[in-house]
Amino acid sequence: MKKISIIILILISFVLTGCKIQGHKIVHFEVINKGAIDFDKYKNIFFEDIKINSSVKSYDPIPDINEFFLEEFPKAIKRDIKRAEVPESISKDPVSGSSLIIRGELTLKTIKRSIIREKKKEKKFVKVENWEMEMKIFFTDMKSGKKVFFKTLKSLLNTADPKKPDYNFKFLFTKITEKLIKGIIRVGKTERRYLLIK
Amino acid sequence: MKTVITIISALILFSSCSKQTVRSEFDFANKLAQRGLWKEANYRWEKSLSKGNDSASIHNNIAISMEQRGDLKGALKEYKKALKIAPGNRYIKENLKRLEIRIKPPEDKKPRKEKKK
Repeated sequence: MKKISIIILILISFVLTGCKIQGHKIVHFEVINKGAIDFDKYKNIFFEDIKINSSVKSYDPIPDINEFFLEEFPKAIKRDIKRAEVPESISKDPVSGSSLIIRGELTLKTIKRSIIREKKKEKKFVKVENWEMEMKIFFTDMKSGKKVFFKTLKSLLNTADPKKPDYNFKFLFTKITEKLIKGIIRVGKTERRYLLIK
Repeated sequence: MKTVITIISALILFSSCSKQTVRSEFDFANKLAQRGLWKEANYRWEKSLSKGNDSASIHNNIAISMEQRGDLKGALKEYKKALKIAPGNRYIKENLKRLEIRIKPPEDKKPRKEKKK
C-alpha cells in the first residue's frame, strides 16, 4: 500500500513539474515603420519654393535651402526631386497628374541682447543674438490639390554670434531638416518583445 | 482497492500526456519564433488555441507574430485578450506599451522658452 502511495506521489510531482511556470524569452524582429508620405504613389516630385521671411539681411539662405531640397532630401527619400520653375505648367501637364509638390515658408527672427562674459579674469559685455527659425512645409498632391503632409518645425539658437550668420543659419537649418527627415521617411527598426514560454 | 489506484494512476498519466501534447506544440512554436519562423509559430499557437488551450501566453505570442507581420490592430486585440486573462503580467503590459508607442509615437518635445532677464 505504501509503495503505491509513493508511486502516485511521484506521478503527481511529475505532472506538477510539467506545469511549472518558466517565464519568458526576449525576441527581436525587424520592422519598417510606415513613412508619413507614400512617395511611391507619385511619378514626379517637384520642389517649388520656400518663401523666406528673414530679419537677417547679411546672409542669403536660398542656396542652402535649394541644396537641401534638391540634393540631400532626394537621397533621404531615395527619389529624384525636380525644380518646379513654373508650377502652373505642371498642373496643366497630364503626365504630372500623379505629382507631389513641395512648398513652404521659412521665418527667421533674431533678438539682439548683451551678456556678461569672463575673459582673462575680465568681465565684459558681449553682444549676442537669439536666433529662432520656423519652417512650415507642405507636400501637396497635384491631382487632388490636397496637402498630404504639413508640418511646422522650430529650432532655437541662444547666444549666437552675430558675426557668424552663416554658421547660425546652417546650425538651425540642419536641426530643422533633420526633424523633417525623421518625420517623413520610413525607418527600419528592431523591435524587442517578451515571448511567454509559460 | 488496487483497481481504483490503477485507474487513478492511469487517469493522471493520461491527463499528463494530453497536456504534454498541447504543451509540446506550444513549446515548439516558441522555439520557431525564437528562430524567426513567425508564420509557422503562429500556425501552431493558433492550433493550440483551437484545441481549447486558451492562455495569456498564447494570446501574447500571437500578438507578437501579428506585430511582426505589421498587423498592429490585430496585435492590440490579442494583447488585450492576454491581459484580460492575466491582468498583472508585466511582460504583456510592457509588450502592449511598446506596441502603443509604435502605433502612436510620442510627439517631439517643444523647445523651451528662454526666461527673460
